Amino acid sequence: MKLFIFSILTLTIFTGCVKEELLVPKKYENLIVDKQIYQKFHILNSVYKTKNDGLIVAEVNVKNISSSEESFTYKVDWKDIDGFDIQTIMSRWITVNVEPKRRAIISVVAPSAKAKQYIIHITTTSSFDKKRKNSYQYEYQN
Amino acid sequence: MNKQKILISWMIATLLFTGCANQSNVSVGKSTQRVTTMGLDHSDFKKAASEAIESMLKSGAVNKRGGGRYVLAISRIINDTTQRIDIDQLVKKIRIALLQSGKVVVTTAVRAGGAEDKMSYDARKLRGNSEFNQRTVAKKGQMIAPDLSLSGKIIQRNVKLTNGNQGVDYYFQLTLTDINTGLAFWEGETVIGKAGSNDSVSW
Repeated sequence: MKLFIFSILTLTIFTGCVKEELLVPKKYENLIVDKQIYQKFHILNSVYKTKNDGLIVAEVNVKNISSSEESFTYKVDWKDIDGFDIQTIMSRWITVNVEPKRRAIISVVAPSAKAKQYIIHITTTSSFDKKRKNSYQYEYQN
Repeated sequence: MNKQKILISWMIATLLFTGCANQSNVSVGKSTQRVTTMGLDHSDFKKAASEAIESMLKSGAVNKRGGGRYVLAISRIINDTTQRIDIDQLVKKIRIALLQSGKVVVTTAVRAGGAEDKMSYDARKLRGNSEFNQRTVAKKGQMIAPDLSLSGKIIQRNVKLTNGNQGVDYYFQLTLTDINTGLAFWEGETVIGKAGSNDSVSW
């Protein structure tokens, strides 16, 4: 009995607190996706390339697999060669509404050739994202 | 034994329901609930500017052949709305982003309606003034003429919505013209729609 209870406690402690965010491995290495997204969306692919002018362009293809209109919110962070964040107005939370069974494409371009890395955060739309629509709530304006 | 079981059950329940609480305690500033008008505000300019920049950079219109940076002059951006808009709210954001891109530099010596910074000309009046070391005075033929010109228009269209409310559509139209040829290298449009009750006003 004691062994059983001890096992349950150990399992709870070591597996119960899994992080909410899932870092998608290998193929989608530049995406950080909120785990809850996968209940409504599938990420079909994620591609990027560096153009001749040195700017990185990236695209993520997202499909709404549910039978209702759903939304997600994303933001891209651009980093220089040393991993420092590049401040730009192009890096902001953007909410996308997707009709049922339809696809949405996240398409981004680097703000300068100094941007060598990027991370696209994809999360469920929160109440904060709705507040962002009201420009008088300055504290939520990214 | 029963007491022990109850105690252990409580421990498990506590772990299950409180163990995964979010560790970070982010404090967000108290929001000020104000009435949103149907007019344009700073987030609209931010959206329009960031979309314009993104489109420009994707199109490759600001890539100078052989490298280097284009020199951009700000031309006329017409405000065709019922609001009094300081166009620089929009243009400044675009200028900052273009400068950061490393592909464009904006001249303040040439602008539709006169130089933005007249000091470039005023400082040249110091030529021949013995009070100034003439080697430090700007020489003739040093200014760089613009390659590109940014012009545009902001248009407002009021519409009646099906639910009886009113809507306002704002169109941010921008054009990047190659001054040498007069050809538009890039054109972009961002539409921002706002809806509100009939009591709302857009000015």
